[in-house]
Amino acid sequence: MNWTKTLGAVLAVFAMLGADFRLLRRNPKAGWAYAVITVFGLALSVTLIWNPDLPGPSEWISAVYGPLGRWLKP
Amino acid sequence: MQQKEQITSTQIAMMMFLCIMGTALLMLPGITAAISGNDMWMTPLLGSIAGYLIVWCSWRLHRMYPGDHFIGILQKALGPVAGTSLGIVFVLFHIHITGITMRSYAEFLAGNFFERTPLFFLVASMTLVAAIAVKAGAEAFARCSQIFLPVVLLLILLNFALLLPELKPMNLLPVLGNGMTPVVKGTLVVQGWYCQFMLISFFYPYLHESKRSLRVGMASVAGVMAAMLISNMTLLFLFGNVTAKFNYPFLMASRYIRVGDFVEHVEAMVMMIWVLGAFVKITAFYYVAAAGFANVFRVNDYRLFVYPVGLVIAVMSMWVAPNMQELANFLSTNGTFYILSGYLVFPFLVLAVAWLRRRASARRA
Repeated sequence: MNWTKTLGAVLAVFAMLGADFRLLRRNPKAGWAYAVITVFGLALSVTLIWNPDLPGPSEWISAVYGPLGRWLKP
Repeated sequence: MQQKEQITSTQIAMMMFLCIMGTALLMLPGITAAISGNDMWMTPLLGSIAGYLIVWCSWRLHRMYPGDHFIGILQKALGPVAGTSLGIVFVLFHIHITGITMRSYAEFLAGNFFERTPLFFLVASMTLVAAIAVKAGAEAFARCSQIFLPVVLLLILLNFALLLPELKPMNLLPVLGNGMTPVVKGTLVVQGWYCQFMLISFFYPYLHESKRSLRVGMASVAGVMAAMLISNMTLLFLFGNVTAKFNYPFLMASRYIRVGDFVEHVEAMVMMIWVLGAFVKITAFYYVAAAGFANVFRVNDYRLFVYPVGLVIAVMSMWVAPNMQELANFLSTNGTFYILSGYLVFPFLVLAVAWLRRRASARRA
């Protein structure tokens, strides 16, 4: 199951590249920025497919804002 | 930045209204009722102060740096290094919030209507639709909101009008029975929604009638305030203290509607309101994320980043919380302060720095 999902994520990225191929050719200088975001998104999705309980940004924030947040609890 | 595209002031007001109301209508009453009890109707009134303040702040920044949106203003006001690094932090923060919005959209549908559909399917389909809208440009989806708003307003008002016979205004009493503290706490949570008016900064550069730019923002905040007040009052009059027990009081209220023997099961209207509102909100947030990235990386055309950013948003939405309860809990406690510091405190700090620097350079000259 996880392998199918991983394959799906990779296929989605390929579909994305195919759709943006012409735009990318017109702005070759933006290619690296495109690559940074895409690789980040793909890496994150593969990590989460294999490890869905990874602590997310909301947990990190809660560690910082915890004392304030507890005051707000009804 | 494509200066050819133009948005009218009415379109901006309508889009921002849908941006805030789209999710606030369903999610907020349950949270504020749990915190403020039957004084929940005051929270939109007090909370709107944050909305007016942040619109004024965005407008001042827009007047100081016309033609730039928030990330561009950051780079100009704080210098290239600090501006760009804070810009990256802001965009990542914004993507986190977009993920939360996307997740709450999908959780509502999966929890109430599409019980056997995988959550990610709802997320992916919405991301794809929003990506197409964002690619079409700010002008296109601003027009979308102009078409959607009358439909949404009509459905909301129809829902409330059909509930009129069931309302019991005495539920309002006692006013301030527990003092001001619960009201202040609820107000903070509501301000977490109002401060998202900060995103108007990303649409001001498209506005061609700059004379009305402040007025439209204020009008939009006032509209949101009125709509929230009406919905909170109606739900309070209908349910009283039970409001806090529901995740989505407005959905429950619509299930109450029964006129004659043929007008019932109007939850479908609530789903329409939710999908239309969430679409506008997600699209606007998505656009801001893509435009922000483009500005951070100094690329002229944000359209290039639409699909990659969509990928990140979709994945992020699966990452923000393990389930709906955790998400609602986060939004009503720690998340409130998080959102307020990003969308309210941070822009004011930027305004203060920009103002001080401008004064310093004026004195030197």
